[in-house]
Amino acid sequence: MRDAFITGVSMTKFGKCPDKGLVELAVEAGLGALRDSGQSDLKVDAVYVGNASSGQFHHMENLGPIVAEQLGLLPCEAERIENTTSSGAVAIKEAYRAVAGGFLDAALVVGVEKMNHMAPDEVTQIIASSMTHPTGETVHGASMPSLAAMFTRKYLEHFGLTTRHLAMVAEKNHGNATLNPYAHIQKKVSIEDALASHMVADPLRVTDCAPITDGAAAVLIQSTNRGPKPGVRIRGVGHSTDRQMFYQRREEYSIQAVKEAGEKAFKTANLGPKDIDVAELHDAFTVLEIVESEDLGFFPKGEGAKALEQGRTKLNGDLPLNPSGGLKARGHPLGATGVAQVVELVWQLRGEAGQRQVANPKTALACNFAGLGNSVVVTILERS
Amino acid sequence: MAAMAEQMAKEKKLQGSKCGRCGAVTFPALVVCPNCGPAYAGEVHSTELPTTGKVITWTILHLAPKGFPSPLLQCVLDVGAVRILGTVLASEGIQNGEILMIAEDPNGKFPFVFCRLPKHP
Repeated sequence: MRDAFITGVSMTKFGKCPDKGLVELAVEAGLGALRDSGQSDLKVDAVYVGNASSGQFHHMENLGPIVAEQLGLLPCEAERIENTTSSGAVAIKEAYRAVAGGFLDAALVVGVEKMNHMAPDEVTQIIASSMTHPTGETVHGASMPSLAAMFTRKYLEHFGLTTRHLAMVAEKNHGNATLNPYAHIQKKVSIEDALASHMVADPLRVTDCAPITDGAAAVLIQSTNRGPKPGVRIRGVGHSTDRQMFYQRREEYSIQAVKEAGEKAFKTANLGPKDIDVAELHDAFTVLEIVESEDLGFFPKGEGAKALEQGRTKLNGDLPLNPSGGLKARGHPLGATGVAQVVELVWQLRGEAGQRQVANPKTALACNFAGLGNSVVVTILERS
Repeated sequence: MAAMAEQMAKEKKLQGSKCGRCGAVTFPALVVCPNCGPAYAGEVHSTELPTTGKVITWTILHLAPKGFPSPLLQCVLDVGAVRILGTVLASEGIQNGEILMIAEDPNGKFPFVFCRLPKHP
């Protein structure tokens, strides 16, 4: 194993993008990352496209070769990587392993999704069909919000928490997103606004759920830090998988795959939770930020909400979580999300995050998952 | 309507799988036991699930996936050996801890539904 660095990053403005096609978004982000690296003439060995459901959303599957050709990077390896909502982080993992393993010198990872051309119930159906258990859940009309709602109800009940704690996550992340020009929803949401917003799946309100977002993000991974920008080294990646139906897993109030992926990533990085200065977590539903903050070892089990209440996870807290606004407010273009998390952390580590910059971070962690935590990737980065 | 359908609901027996080595029951059925792994795949056999269980958690989904009606009352039912998800046919809300029965869907939309136990006069 050798070192691998992220030398260029970029993302499109997230939101509703009716005027740009799926491939166009991917190309915009990809070119942006090459430009950011200061090496637009670089020989790229591979293009990995993280995407969840281009087949169902666009009747198009072969995004790897199409995006690589549009980027003018042929001949090179090119492939699409699908692992539902963790497609982006899995694509980064594969690129990192290929570069650190000495198989490639430069790999470009592009995450992309575009969904807003479809009606919300169609998007919900496509996401449900790709992420819920086909014969145990999908056929019953289960959706990601309904599963997350049932997990949330149990979690709140067990730890004596209320929906006010969920609203606090929404308030914090929406606040951060007002400082992020790339965020989908740049609007403050108060706790009262959140608690009065319409119900999606009891007890989850619209402010508890990530929006339907279009967008793309890209990172360039190289074996040497050759760009003009401060180097960011990938210190470790962990990936773990659990059973599909969350209520059939061993643990009821934790996401076991988060714990396992976190432990693997920390072990590879030779770091622990206390070493992390800033993190982007997978808050597709507000409760998940709290649960992950515990399962990654940042706070003891059952005390994630207390840390949130105390302001420890705000931009100026001792462990800022989701400075970008998170999936909640930066937005959640499924296959782009895991890449966008890493883009934000690279900006934070370089000191380029503008008004939402946290104080002098040296190490950062991203947690990206598929579905309700059936396949989880944790990535640890360090300013080199 | 729902109240009448509830009264007329017919019990439905579901087939899951059971590991002869550790006793773990799965539904939908699996070929390999999640605890014992592929080395003991031969130990896994079909088994009939109990037809009643306890509500573990529930939601009312207000934006159901296309093709399903909204709102949709869903819950996770613990039938003892395994927890399963389904839609609830009920004229009023349900609570955690309540006992429901697995029944045939009178509308034929779902593979099965959950409903309250029929009241005997």
